[in-house]
Amino acid sequence: MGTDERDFFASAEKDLMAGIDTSVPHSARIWNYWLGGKDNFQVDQEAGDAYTAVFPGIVELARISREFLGRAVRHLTAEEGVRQFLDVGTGLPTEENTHQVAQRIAPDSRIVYVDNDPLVLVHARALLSGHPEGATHYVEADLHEPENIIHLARRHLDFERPIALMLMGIMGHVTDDDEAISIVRRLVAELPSGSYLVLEDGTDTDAAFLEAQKGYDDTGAVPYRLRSPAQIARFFEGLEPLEPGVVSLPLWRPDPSPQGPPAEAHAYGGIARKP
Amino acid sequence: MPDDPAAMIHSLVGEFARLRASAGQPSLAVIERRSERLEAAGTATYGVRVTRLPRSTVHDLLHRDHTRPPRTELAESLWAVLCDLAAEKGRPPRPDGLNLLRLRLDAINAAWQSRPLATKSAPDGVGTAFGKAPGIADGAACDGDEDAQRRWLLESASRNTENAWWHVGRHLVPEWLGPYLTLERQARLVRSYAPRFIPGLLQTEAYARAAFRRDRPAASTPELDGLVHLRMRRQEPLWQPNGLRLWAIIDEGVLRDPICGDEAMHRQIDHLCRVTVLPPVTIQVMPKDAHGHDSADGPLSLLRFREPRLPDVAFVEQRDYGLYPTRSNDVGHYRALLGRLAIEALSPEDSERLLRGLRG
Repeated sequence: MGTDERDFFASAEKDLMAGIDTSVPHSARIWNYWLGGKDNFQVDQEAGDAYTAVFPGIVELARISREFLGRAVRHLTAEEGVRQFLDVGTGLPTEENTHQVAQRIAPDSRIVYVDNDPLVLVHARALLSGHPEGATHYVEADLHEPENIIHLARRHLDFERPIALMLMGIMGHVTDDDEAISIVRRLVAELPSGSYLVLEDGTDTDAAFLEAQKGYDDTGAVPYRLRSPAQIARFFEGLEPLEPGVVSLPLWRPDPSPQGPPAEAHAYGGIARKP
Repeated sequence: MPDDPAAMIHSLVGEFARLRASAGQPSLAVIERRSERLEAAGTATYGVRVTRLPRSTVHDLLHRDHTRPPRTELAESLWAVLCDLAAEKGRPPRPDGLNLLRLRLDAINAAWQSRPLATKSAPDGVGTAFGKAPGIADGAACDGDEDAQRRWLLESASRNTENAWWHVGRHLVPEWLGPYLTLERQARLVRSYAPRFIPGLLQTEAYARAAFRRDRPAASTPELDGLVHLRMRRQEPLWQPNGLRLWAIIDEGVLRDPICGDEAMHRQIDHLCRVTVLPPVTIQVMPKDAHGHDSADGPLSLLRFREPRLPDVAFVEQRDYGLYPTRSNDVGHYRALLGRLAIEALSPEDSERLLRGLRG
C-alpha cells in the first residue's frame, strides 16, 4: 500500500469513525477485552496484550473488580435497602451490570449510568435495558464536571432518598490527587444523608502493574494514575466505612469459599455511608 | 450463486455498469483518457493508484461475460476512474466503496481458486463467497485463532444445510444467504443496519411479501408464500425466552416508504412501536438528515454468539450476493461502523417517539 493510499484510508477511516477513534486504545474497550468482551478493536487488543505481557495479573484484576461490584451492589440492595444507584464510568456492558444485580434483588431499583464515551453510551442504551418496574437511565457527562453529573442525575433520581454513588475503577482518570479528592467530595456533598460511596481502584503496590500502566500511558491513550491504598482511603474521609473498611478488593466481604480466605489483589476499595 | 465464480464476476460487472451510469454513462474513450490522466498524475485516486485502461480492456471489464476473474489492479483502476467521473456529476463514492470492492475481488478469487475443475456443480455446498479455508478440516479448528474460527464457523454453516431450519424452503434460499440464516439462529445478539427495508426479523407478513416482490419481481405466488413463511419462522427465536436479541438501526426513509400500501404499512409501524419497548428489541432510527447513510454501502449485520469463544460474524448484504469477511480487521471495521451509526442515529427513546408519531 502506497503512502497516498494509506493517507486516504487514514482520513477516510477518521471521517467515517467520527465518535469512535479506532487508532488510539480506549480504556473502556480494553477492559471489555480483558473481561472477554468483543466490543473492542485491534488497537485495544494490542494495547491490552502489551499490558498483560508486562503485568499478567490485570486480567484477574479486571474480574476481581467486577466481582466486587457484584458483592457491593448486592449488599447495598439486600442489606442496606438502597434503591437508587448513580454509576459513574459505566464502561461497556458485561454480563453482570449494576442494574442487573440490583433489580434481581429489588426490581424497583433505579439506576443512572454515567459515561462520557459515545460508544459506551450507545451500547448501554441499547443493551442495558432494565426491569420494567425499575428504571435505567443513561447520561452523558464527564467525571471532571461533578456538578453536571448531579444536575443530570436529578432528572431521574430522588435526592431526598439515599443514593449509592459508584466510582468503580475510574478515579485514576483524574491524575491530579487534589482534583480527584475534590471531585469525590463535590459529588458526595450533593447526596442526602444515608447515602453511600462505593469506590475502588488499582493500587501502586506492584512494580509490574506500574510499569504496564506507564507503557499504556505512552500509547497516546488517556493516562491513568494508580494510587496507594492510603490515597484511596482518603476518598472516604468524613464518611462512615462499612466493615471491613477500605481493603484489598477480594477481602471485602468475600463470598464463602471452600478454598478459604482469598488472596489480596492490587486494587483497593470499600463502601462508606454518608452520616 | 456465489459458488460459481462466473456468476460473481457477472454481478461485479453489473456493479460497474451501475457505477458507470451514475457517472453519466461515459464512453470507453472518455474512461481511457481519464485513466491516462490519473496515471500520469501519479497520486492515488480514492485510494487507488490508477493504471492506464485501454479501451479494449475497459470494454472487456464492462461487457464481456468473463470466465476468469478480472485482474485486481485493472478492476480497482476502473472503479477509481468511474468514481472520479461520478464525483464530477456530484456523486462521490461512498467511503466504504474500495473496501467492499476488495472484499468482493477477494471473494471472486477465492471462488475461482476453489472452483471444481471437471464439473460445473459446486463442491459440497461450500459458500466460497467467504473463501476457502486451507487447513481447516474439522471442529478442532475451533481452538485456532479468531480468523480460523470464523472460517470454520462459516464453512460448517454452509456445509450442514440438511439440518438447517430453513432446509424445507432450500429452493428459495440463495446459496449466499444460507450460512447467514443458519448462524443467525445460533446467535445471542444481532446488530443490523437497515437502509433498504425494515429488518427481516421485524417484518409483518404483508411487508415481507411486498419486500420480496420488489427484490424478486419474477417470483410466483407459491414462491412468495414460501418466502414469507420462512421469514416468519426466522423471527421465532426473537420471542423465545432467553432467545435472540436484536439491535437494529433503520433508515427513516425506510419507515416512510409504504411498499406494502398505506394500511399494511400502518400495521408494520404499529408492530415496530409495540416490539421496540420489549426487552429483546432495540430500534434506533437514522434520521434523514444524518450523514450515517453515506458510510454504509447497504444492509449490514453482525452476529454475536452465545458461546463466548466464538468470534463475531459480519454479513454485508448486497442486491444479489452477500459477503462474510473473515479477517478480524474487516469484521472490526464493520463493528466500528455499526457503532458509529448507532452514535449518529436517534436514541432508542427518541426513535420510539418518532415511530409513534409516524403511526399517528
